[in-house]
Amino acid sequence: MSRIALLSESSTAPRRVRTEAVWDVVVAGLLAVAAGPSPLGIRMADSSLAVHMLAEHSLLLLAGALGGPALLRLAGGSRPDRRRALGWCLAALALVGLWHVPGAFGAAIRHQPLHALMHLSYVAAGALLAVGLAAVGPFDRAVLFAASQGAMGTLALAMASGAVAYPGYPPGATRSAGVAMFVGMQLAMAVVVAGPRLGSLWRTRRMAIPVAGSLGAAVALSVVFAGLT
Amino acid sequence: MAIAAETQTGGRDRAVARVTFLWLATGGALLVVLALAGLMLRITQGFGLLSARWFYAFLTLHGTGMVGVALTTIAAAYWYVMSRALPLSPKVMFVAYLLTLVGALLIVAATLIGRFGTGWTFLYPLPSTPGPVPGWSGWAAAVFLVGLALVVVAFALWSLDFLRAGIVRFGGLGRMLGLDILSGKRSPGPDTTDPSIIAGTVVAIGGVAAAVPGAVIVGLELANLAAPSFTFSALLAKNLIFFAGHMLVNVQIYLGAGLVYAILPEYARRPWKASRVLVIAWLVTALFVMLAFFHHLYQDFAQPTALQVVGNVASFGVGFPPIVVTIFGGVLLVFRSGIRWTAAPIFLYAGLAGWAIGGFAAEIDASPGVNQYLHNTLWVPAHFHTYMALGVVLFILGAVYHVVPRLTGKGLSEPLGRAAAWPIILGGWGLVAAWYASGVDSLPRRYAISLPGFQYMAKIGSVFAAIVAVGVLVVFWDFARVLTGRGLGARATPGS
Repeated sequence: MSRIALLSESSTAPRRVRTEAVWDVVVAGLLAVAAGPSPLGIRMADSSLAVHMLAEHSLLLLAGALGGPALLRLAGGSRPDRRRALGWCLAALALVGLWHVPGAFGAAIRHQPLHALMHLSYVAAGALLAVGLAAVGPFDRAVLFAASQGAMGTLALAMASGAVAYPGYPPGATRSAGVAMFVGMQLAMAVVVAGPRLGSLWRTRRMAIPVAGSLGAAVALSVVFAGLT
Repeated sequence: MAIAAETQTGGRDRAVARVTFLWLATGGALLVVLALAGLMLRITQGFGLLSARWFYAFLTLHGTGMVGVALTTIAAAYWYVMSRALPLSPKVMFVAYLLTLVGALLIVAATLIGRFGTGWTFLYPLPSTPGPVPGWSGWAAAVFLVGLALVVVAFALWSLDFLRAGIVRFGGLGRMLGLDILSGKRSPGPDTTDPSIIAGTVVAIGGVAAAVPGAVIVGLELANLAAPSFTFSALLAKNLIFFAGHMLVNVQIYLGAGLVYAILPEYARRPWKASRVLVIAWLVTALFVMLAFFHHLYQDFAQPTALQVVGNVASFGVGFPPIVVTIFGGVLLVFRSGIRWTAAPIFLYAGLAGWAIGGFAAEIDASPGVNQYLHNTLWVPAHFHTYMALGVVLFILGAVYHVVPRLTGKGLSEPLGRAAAWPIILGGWGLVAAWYASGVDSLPRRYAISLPGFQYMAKIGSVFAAIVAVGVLVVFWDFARVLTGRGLGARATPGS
């Protein structure tokens, strides 16, 4: 009996992994659409700089972090080695850093295609970080985390003090966004420290369908309402 | 194979002892010199001793030196105590020692030869713009900045090595912080983290994070010195200086807590285990440790009001949880334990009082409504000297009395240590009381000459500071005897 169970498990396991990966990609895609090009995402970008930078971009990073490893599983790719994984993490941080340069961010606000590229970059950065952080050692993760706390804090303070201003938003908005970002990075710290535990809270089989349904409904409703108004 | 491993362990032990010995000897000597510089400042405010120009040079030396040397010395004492539990690297520690030594010497040169006198805060554009009366030249400012940077790099190295060793032992940051205890996956025991390691992990994360804004501000100020046409936001500079600076001051007390967690149980003969409450308290501190510095910026009204709210919440969040769990834990540990009050537990226990009271005084000043009145008054040196001089320094002294017999095989004199504790602790409380009273009277800090009618406060403070100096010199004299091989025979067990 146990042999049969083992046999059936071994034959169904790859299919189950594949099905779960497909669902993860679906949820990630819907999240990226909801936070990016949908009227919901556009509303977030328009409401304030803090919401745009902190909430919208964090959701896009999250979409990448969920979808990236799933895509890698679907493609049959293997974990990168430590050096490559570190490179991916640094590339992701550089990508995120690039869009914090006022000139680059201002251009993205003015030009729609660049705005879309910025949002795609965040999704890609989330994917690179998720795959990279899973492959580097715990010490690398700890150093990356502590050093990026310092770097994000430095940038947040540049915004809060008014040393950096983003075109398209009033100067006061940049200062408030700086404070929000500083607080947000502490929350990010909690997420990173508790990362593996939080990751294990995600149960694709149980949660993917309702979450995908909710996201799909939210996007559809926002499109309908945007059309009506 | 076993013999080889044993020899290797023995070799490591000797290396650990040598590096710790160097640290404590150098740190002890520097701390005494810097404390005497502080005494001269107080005497100047009370009786007039130094010219204003020298006063500010000494103020800068005392403030920067104390922050840097106390940080690295308490880190060294903690490192030694932790080196049995974690595979810490003596080589990295030796490099950190050299960097700190060179950094400290550069700061001494910048202040005593170059008369650099901005105070430890080196707020931009003061380093490159001393004012109408030329106070110092560009080289002194550059040497000071490089010296400070070396000390910060040394501490960042210490932090990285601590994280590395902790991860080798426990497998990840989460377990070092006790998340497995919090989730109930493991019960506190030999396989889990302990309170000292939790405190050290919070410190190490802060140490690495602080190095980034520290490097940015030193780079910006050096660039401004090299090319005066290059300018940047003065408010950004203040933010970055306090982001890095406040964190590096703050974490010293956590290293002190780590020492208390590790050493006091040996004297009380009771274990101090990690608990869920303790883990939660330190996680709250880890969350808030980088946000608390906003209380230095309440008067910078150009920044959003949200900053004051965050600063207020974070200041209370960073202080109270560890103070409460540590003070209650310490009291319960000692209560009816039959502890023998030798010099080490006396200094460590008195240090807890300094931390609690100084921390509470800091929380008062971190409330925006009160800060309106106490900002930049002598209340500020009052509270930070309470938890630095009566907290961190007492923790260092407690650690010295505990560690030196194990390092050298020779013990410091117990009667002398217990006798010296009286002038150090009582004199210290008198010294800070004079500052607290002056702060309540709204006397400004960093004035070379006290306001007319209030010099008596500085005179009272000077007398108490001199009493502290007597106690410190007695301990240092005894310590120097041990270092030169003339100390007493080692005691076998703590408290015996």
